[in-house]
Amino acid sequence: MPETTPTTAPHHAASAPDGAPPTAGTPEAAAARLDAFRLRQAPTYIPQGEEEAVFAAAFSARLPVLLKGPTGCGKTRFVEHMAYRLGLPLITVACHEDLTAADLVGRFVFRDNETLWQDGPLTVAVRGGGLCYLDEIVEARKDTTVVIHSLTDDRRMLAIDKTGEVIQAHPRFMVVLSYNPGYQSLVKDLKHSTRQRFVSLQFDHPAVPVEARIIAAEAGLTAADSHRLAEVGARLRELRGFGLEEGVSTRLLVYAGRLMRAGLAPVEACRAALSQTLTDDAAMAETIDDIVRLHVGDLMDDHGHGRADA
Amino acid sequence: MTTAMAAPTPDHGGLSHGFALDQVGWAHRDLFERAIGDLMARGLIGPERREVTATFFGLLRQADRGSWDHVLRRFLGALTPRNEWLLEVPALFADVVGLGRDLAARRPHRGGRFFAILAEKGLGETPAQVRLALDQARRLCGLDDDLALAFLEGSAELSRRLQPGAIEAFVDAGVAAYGRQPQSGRAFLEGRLESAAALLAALSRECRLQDRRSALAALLQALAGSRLELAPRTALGGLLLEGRGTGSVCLDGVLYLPESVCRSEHRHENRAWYTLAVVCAAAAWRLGAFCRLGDPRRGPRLGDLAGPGNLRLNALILAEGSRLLAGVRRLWPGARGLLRAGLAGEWQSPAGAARPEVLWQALAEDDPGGRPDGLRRLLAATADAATVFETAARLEDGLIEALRRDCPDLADAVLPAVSFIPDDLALAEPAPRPDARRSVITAAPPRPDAVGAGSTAPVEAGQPEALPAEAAEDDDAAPPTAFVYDEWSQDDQDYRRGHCLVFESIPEPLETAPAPPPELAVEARRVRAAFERLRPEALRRERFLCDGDAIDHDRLLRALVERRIDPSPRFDIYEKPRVNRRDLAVALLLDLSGSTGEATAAGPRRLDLERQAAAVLAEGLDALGDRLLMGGFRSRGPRDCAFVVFKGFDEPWSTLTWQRLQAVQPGDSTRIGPALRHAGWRLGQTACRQRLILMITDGKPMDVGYEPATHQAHHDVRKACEENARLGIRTFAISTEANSAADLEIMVSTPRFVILPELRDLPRLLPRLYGRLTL
Ligand SMILES: Nc1ncnc2c1ncn2[C@@H]1O[C@H](COP(=O)(O)OP(=O)(O)O)[C@@H](O)[C@H]1O
Ligand SMILES: [Mg+2]
Repeated sequence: MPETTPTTAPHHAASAPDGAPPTAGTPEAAAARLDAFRLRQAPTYIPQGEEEAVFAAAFSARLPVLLKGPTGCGKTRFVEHMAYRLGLPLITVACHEDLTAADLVGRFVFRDNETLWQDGPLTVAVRGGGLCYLDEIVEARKDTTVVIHSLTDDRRMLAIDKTGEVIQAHPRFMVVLSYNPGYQSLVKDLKHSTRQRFVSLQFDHPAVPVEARIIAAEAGLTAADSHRLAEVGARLRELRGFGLEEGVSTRLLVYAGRLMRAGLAPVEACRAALSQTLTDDAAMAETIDDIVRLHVGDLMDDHGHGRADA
Repeated sequence: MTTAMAAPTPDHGGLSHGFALDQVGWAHRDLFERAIGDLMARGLIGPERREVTATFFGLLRQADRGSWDHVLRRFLGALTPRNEWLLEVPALFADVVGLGRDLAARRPHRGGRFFAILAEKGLGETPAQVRLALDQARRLCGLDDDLALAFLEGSAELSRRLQPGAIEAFVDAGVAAYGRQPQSGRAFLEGRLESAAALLAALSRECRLQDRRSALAALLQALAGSRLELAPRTALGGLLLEGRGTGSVCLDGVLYLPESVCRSEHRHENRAWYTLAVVCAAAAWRLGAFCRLGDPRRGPRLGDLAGPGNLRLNALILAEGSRLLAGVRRLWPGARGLLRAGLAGEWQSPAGAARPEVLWQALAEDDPGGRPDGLRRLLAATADAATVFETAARLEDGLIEALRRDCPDLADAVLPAVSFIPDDLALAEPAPRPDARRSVITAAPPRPDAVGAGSTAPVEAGQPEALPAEAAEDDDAAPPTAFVYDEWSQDDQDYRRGHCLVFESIPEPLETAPAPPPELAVEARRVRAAFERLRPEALRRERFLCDGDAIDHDRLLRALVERRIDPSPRFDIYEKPRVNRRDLAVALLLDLSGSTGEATAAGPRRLDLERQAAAVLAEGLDALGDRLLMGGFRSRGPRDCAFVVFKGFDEPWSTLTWQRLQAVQPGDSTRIGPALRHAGWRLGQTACRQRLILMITDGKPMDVGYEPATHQAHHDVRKACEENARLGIRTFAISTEANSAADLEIMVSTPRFVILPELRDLPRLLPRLYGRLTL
């Protein structure tokens, strides 16, 4: 990589999320670009505990936050909610194996007869202030995740080696990571040197009353129906050790609720959103069906009874 | 594939395929010729279908014994269109033919009868049915061949009407009858006795705990919200009081249910009974009913809570029963209908009709108006109690007196049980503590997905448990450690817990080992070079991209120049680090059993060829960067399985590892299952995304404790492969012809094996095979 770029390379704003060409590098343009990442509407969020207070405190103390918890339990929704509440633009990066450091920090592009530096999403947030959310961080390779190290300690700065530039993070910049410890895989675990830079918030499947309120809000079901669905969820989460280690996510319960709302019979809705989604094993699906029918149907209209035992 | 088994060679002395027609008594030759020709014309046998063709002619070749003509004629006659499908399943076909051959070997006419049954009635309609029939017949052959044939006469009918478990129960009854009188045992199994017909009818509608146990155990845990186990009631032995009508007992965290239920004419109602019993037990658990307290033989008994006298005890039973069922209806509205049906069925049964009316009045969903005032007051006073203690505390004298006035019979005797509600008075006292927990069906599935996958799995959940070995064989080497693994028993359809002990060891390098022979070194260099070319370069950049992480300045310059001539030059000026690295761990397992000491046609012993192949592959993998564990296995029974490590994942391939490889000598037997499980566990500890086991074996799995006539060992191997597959570990087997495709089909599924006619080619073929599998 030739090191020809002067330290004072003019900064051109990174392209907007829709991929529009960069405009002139004025602070106004940068602000306009960040503005595109602002949430226009308040997301629905039902708090599970003290997480809002902790997050707000971490923001004012300029500490990065790590959200732990099983999939579909509201981590992403929570970040959206907090970004809106704190009035921050939210830049989300879904991590994957092929994500490179340049995907986060930025790269040179050649346009209009010029080599231009284009900020990556992380750099955009660092410069202009905003919440950079790295979703499912363990999916990214470790040499990629190290780029956030200098941002997540007292230095709060980002060194871009390709331009030689060192940026001090905007006071309203914040990093949030999410991470699902349930994978329990040796390969996919967060390095301790990374993990120990964060304030952690543990998310879990919500308690039945909270989850019932979430389902009611998200699917538009009655309180009674939502409660029964939440109860199904709680029962299914007891099936750890039977091959349902992850437990059913709030997201799936919301889906079941939306199918019911769309007019499907509760048992059918749950079969589509829960039993068939959670398992391919016939005996397990039968158990899930039984649990569903106990709560929202009738064990007597039994498809299972006619079925031959496998 | 050049490696498949060769077709039987033509034989010019008679027909073809190694079968000489002049072996047949000449009166039958015509018939044989026609039958064989017909089968070939229909494509049922022939060069396309080596496996069954070999089985087929294998049997026909027996014809040199003249007395077999009759058997073989029957055999040909049995290959009717209805049985044709058997030829599609080579392993099964081989088993069918094998049983006929064994029967005929003892008495030709029995072989003839066997094939006649196959022709007329068949053995079943699905592979599972046929296999079950064969397994049972084999078992009966141990007693009496004619008994086995009697069973086979009726087996097609049995498999139509009964679940697999029930067929076994039926055969058990036949064996018992045989024990009393052989004649009647045979008649029973043929279905000619009335008692057999009655049993068949009962079995065909009964539901067995065995058949539903994992679903029920899961339901129980989900509903109760804590770890409640499920066990057959026989585990309580003779502890149960007779005559209470007890169906369900919940004791010390274990729900005991009958092994089979046959209360109703309809199978689905008998199934539903189990569901209801589980629902009621889960509710009892959640509602703090008496069963939550533990064992009444150690703690308080129900009578102690109620206070003195039958009347008080009965009052508590009624109040708790009503509270429990109300709780079921509230928690799980979907159970209301089932509960109503269950109560109705119970009441209409002869035993139910004899029970006091007041019991049904207390358990009914809502008061139909007939409840005596004393009962109404009792239930009203206790309905919202939170636990059995609270219910008992509310049994004030006034309530009891009202009950005595309105239901005087209640003072006479203790109320009997309702079958699907846990019976708190079921235990006869005083009694020794049963060894109940031992035979408990655990609520967990037999072998969870966790062979060594997570460090959190408890030992009984399949995690190999390392035991310090009592005696280290070699003081210098690292002390061998025992790993405990379960073994699958096809007969019991369950794991034998901790049946196998695997001892891992590292052999002392044989320093006098000769260097690899020169032709091997040449081959190794060739493979190494080939693999080196294939090695993806982690550092290489992907270039000429239209979008990427960085600009390639040379390309940029050229593009700018080109633009002066070409109005639309390719603007592929970007580059990006290549990220797809190989991320693969492989365990290569060599069979070290005694048979590998035999010399091959080519000269060297089989083990030597295995070693050479392993060495060539190891060279190549070194170049490729894949992580390799090289190990060997042999065994002397389940308690002494050796797993020898020549090269660990993190060791380089070197003179040292070569010398270790040379140090072992062939010996002992072949127990593949534990070796696969252990290799799986080792692979599970690597951080690679892809994991593979390559196993080279020259023989059938054969070891102490395997029944040669069955495929027990094969099924264990298959289970081990399945367990590994759940951990994302694939298994590939390389075998000599000692294992037929039929054997391997059971052990690993179809595309996952190759059979080498000759091991001589192994050093050359192994790396190619590896390349095909992983590149
Ligand atoms: N606390 C909550 N408030 C509102 N909706 C929620 C909440 N928790 C979960 N949900 C619902 O569940 C869905 C999945 O949540 P999400 O935040 O995407 O999960 P995660 O990021 O943890 O995988 C959301 O789309 C939303 O419908
Ligand atoms: Mg998410």
